[in-house]
Amino acid sequence: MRPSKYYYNPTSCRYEPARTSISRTAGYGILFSISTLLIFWGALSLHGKLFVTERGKALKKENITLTKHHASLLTGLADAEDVLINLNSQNSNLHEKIFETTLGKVVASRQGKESLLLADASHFKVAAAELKAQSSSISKTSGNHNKHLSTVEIKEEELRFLMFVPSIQPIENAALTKLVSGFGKRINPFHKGNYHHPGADFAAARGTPILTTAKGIVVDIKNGSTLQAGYGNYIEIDHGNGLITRYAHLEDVMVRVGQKVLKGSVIGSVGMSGGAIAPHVHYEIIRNGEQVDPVPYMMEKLNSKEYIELQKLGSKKNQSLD
Amino acid sequence: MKRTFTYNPQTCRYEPEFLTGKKLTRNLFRFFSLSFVVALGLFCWYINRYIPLEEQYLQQQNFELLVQWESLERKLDAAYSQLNELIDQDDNNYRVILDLQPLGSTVREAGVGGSEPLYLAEIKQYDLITETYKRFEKLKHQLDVESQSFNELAKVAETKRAMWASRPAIQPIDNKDLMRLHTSFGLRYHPLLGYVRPHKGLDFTAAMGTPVYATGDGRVSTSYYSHTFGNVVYLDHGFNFETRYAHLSKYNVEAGQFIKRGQIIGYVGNTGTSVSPHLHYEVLFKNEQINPINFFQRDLSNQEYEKLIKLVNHENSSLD
Repeated sequence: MRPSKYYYNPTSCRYEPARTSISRTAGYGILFSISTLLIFWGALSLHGKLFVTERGKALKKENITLTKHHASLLTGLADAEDVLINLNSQNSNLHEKIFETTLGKVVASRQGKESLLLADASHFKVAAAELKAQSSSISKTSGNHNKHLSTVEIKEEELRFLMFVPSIQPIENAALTKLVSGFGKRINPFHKGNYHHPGADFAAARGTPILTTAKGIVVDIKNGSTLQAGYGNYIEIDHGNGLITRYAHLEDVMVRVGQKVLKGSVIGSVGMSGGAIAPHVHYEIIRNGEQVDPVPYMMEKLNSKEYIELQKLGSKKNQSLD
Repeated sequence: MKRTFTYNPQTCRYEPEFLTGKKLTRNLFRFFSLSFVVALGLFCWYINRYIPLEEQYLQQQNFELLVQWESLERKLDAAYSQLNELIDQDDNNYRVILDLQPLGSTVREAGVGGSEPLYLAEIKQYDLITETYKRFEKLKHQLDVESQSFNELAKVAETKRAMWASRPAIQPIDNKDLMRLHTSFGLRYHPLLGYVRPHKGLDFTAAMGTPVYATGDGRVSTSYYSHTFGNVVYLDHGFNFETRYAHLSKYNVEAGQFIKRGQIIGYVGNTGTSVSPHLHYEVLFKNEQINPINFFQRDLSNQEYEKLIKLVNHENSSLD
């Protein structure tokens, strides 16, 4: 095919076929792409404006609804939080009024986690070495202990003696919340003076079963007490070896004098007979004729952490319930 | 621009090319129609393949809103956990101590709903929003119940405190002034009348003019001179308790007056049927005398007793 375009070359005085220049083609190409893209973009936005898909419509509606109700719920929630703050202050007031002691705010310590997060690898190395040393020393001592225990013979007599030592709490108290006031100097609820409180008070709803804390014989009961002072209805159980336990302010007494009772058997129910301001059981351990702190005698069914917690609760200098 | 030529085979000559309007229009038309066709193709391919831009934007917005909603839910959770702590305190602590029935979930959750809120139609189709509203309404209701409950508890606690404060709980005479305490309650030989008759109180022997303290908060129901009791003060403590203080040399209270525990109401004397200065003290529960020995704290130390007395009498004098 013959070329369609020619140039006049003045040096050779001839018409020469024009060659297609690259720059020209590229220029046309760029121009073409730009115009194509512009048209494409325009079509796309026009399409977007004119034809909103069903999904788009739904989304738009949902977004508007979400925005609106988010705002309204947020203000509602702020009001609710105000009520909560108010309730919290009422709560501490009430606590103060009833227990004569301020409500200890439990502030969760995040120290441990933070220090763990900030620790670098070298810390872990040290900690790991420490742990390793500890575990090996523990396994060593535990080995010794096991050997020791396997060689020590516990006589049947001693086992029997242990069965007669009070070792549980007088009511079911897995959450440890029921020990309200312990042994020692406490505020008397009636005259608000300090006095010696000779036992531990476990607050519980009326009718909560009371459990014997060790094997023993019922030596004294009082039932049908109408006096608004003193122990009210109570049970005394002799465990031998100079140990007596007393359970006071009962509603019902379910045992009689002379009856043998086993550890954990139900002997009565919680009430507020006698001089009590709340339904509770006042629990005393009398060793050789003298009341002693009963909390150390409640180690069974508790791990060491719970035991420490119980001791803490029992040593609070608050108001007793009788 | 260099001029271009075309070869015209009819004239066998090279003729210069001129850019006519017609030609230009044709060229432009060709250029744009081609461009348009390509763009259209691109557009069709894009529409088939990708979500429209508007929708993408909405989706992004929706995602952000859902994240915000999630944080709202977390706030709601936090409020619930605080409330549940309070409910736990209420039911398992205060209601036990104050001897009230726990409210229980039936009371706490009853009556949620009621009239349909206006916004309901608007949010019916959105389960997420509906659920959150339901939870929020429940929270509001429970907060309402809890507020009422706390008000009730505060009221009951106040009454109980008054009750505990008014109960006879101390000795009417200070240990250090006390010479002798006749703890005989019941039948005994009357030293003046000369026969056995029930003795319905306790006798505190003390020097003339020893102060006598009220043993609990209460109102003076009457104070007068009786032939048997001499100068006598009756205190009504409410809650079925009453105390009587007899044979006083004088009293300094009058009927209707409010007395606090530990306040001086009179002084030991020898009036009425009495042979020596002493205080005859009675405690009545439901109009029946009971042994007062049960109603004072025997293990209250002297120091504590004096602190108590001083506090009350100081309070009173400062009021005058």
